[in-house]
Amino acid sequence: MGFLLVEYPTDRQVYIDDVQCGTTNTPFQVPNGRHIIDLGPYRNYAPTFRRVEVFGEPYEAPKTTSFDPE
Amino acid sequence: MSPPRFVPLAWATIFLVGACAHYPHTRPTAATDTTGRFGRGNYRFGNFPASGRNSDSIFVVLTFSGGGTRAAAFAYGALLELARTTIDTGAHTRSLLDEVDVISTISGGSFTGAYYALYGMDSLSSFENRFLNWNAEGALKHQLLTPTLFRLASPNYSRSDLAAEVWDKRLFHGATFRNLVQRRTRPYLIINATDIAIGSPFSFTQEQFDPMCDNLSDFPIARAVAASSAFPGLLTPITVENHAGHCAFSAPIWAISDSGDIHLNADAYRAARDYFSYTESGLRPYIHLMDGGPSDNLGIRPVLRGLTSIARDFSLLRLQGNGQLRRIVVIAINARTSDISAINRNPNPPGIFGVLLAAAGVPFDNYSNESLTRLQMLSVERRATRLGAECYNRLLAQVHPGVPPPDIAALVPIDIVHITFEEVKDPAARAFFLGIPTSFALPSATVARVRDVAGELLRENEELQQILEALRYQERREPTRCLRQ
Repeated sequence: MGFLLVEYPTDRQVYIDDVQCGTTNTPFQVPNGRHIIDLGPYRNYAPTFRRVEVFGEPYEAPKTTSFDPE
Repeated sequence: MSPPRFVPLAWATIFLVGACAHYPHTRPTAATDTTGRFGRGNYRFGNFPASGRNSDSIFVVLTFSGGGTRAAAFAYGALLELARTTIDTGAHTRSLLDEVDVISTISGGSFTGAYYALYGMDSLSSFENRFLNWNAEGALKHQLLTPTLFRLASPNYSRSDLAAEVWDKRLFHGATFRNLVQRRTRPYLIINATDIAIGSPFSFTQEQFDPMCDNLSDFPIARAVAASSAFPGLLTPITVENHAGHCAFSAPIWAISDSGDIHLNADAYRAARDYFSYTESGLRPYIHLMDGGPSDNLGIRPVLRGLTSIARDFSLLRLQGNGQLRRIVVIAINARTSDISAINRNPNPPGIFGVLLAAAGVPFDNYSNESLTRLQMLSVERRATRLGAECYNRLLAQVHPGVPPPDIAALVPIDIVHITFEEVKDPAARAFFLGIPTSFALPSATVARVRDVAGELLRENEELQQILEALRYQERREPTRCLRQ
């Protein structure tokens, strides 16, 4: 497993593989593998989704991805 | 005197009618919700919300191993003890049993788990007479002396189908998984068997049934228990029809993602490939299920999956990511014995039956030990991650004073309590328990001893007592000592 950090200017829910899990700006654990990340059905952000590959990233150096308000 | 001429005719009729016997058909679903939004009414963890005396903050998982009536009695004794164990946090007093969220069961343990999940604590005492002190083996043999025998002539009706009928009549009275959903109270029961074609665990959950377009709600609990306890060689597999292609099934994203690359996550890759194999009704129109032991005799595999996957129906990783958990406690009730060592006391090599029994039984323990080790490793990794994160956050606070560090509450501790007969202190008593055979007919005195020793072992277990101390009085942890502070 590895840690994922999803950056966004405000705190909001993070969806991984279409399931809500975790919040923005706080590292959380996800299984190793390829995942599709988005910020939920209220699509006022860009891009629509991100693809990430997680492979054992530690808390101190999480896999980081980001979204911007639209 | 010659017998009347109609007697052979009557027997032939009984034989022919019996030979037409068939195991119950499963009904295909009209549509399947695999989006993770968890449609109401289906047998999914998402439909068992924490409520009443059960909170999500302490998430307790019980696992009941296989081992016939011995395992069923051991699990029963554990349930009684957990009901007696109170947690007093000042604001609430409840029993540890009230806090049990999930029960994952194998074989003999499935009888206890299913009975408790179906009828609750109020009816649990009847389990002792209904099952533990009942000669279940004798009841099965008795059925073979009735016209039922002729039904076994049918290729579509086996000894395990007969066993399922006997278990249903005696214990479950026609209950299906719909009855469990209608209770809408935890624990969420996961009965586990083994898919003999691929050698993988098969859990009786709607998520497992989704790709087959089968509706688990209609499936009899007795058949799930019969599959879970169909010891290879002694009982036959239970068959489930695969209706894949007959519903609006769309593969969940996790299965598509995980099936992409074996190198990133071999476990997830295998699970996804297994999952997709059920969509191939042309290749796999019938799924044959036997005892859960060969793939996991402790019932720990669903817990491991829950701790390491995020988008599956039962995902502890998702609950902790959403900040719903504060502590995970896994209590493994393991009724393993050392009866297989009887082989070594005989100077003659075992016969074919003995070899088959050993070949079927010995891997149970090896695989179970590996599952337990993986669970322990996850617990240790989590502790190390949490300590590391604490130290890192302290460093951040020094470098960037005034900026709040990330919240690490989601990195919840995973506590493991493992109860086995090997912990019995008295050598003679230990030898007694380790020598109890795997059978569905044990003397009442043996059942009572097994039941009682489960309570004793839980009361004496240091890990459990430490957990209870932490739950009752709030943990007074030593401050974490970080490097160069």
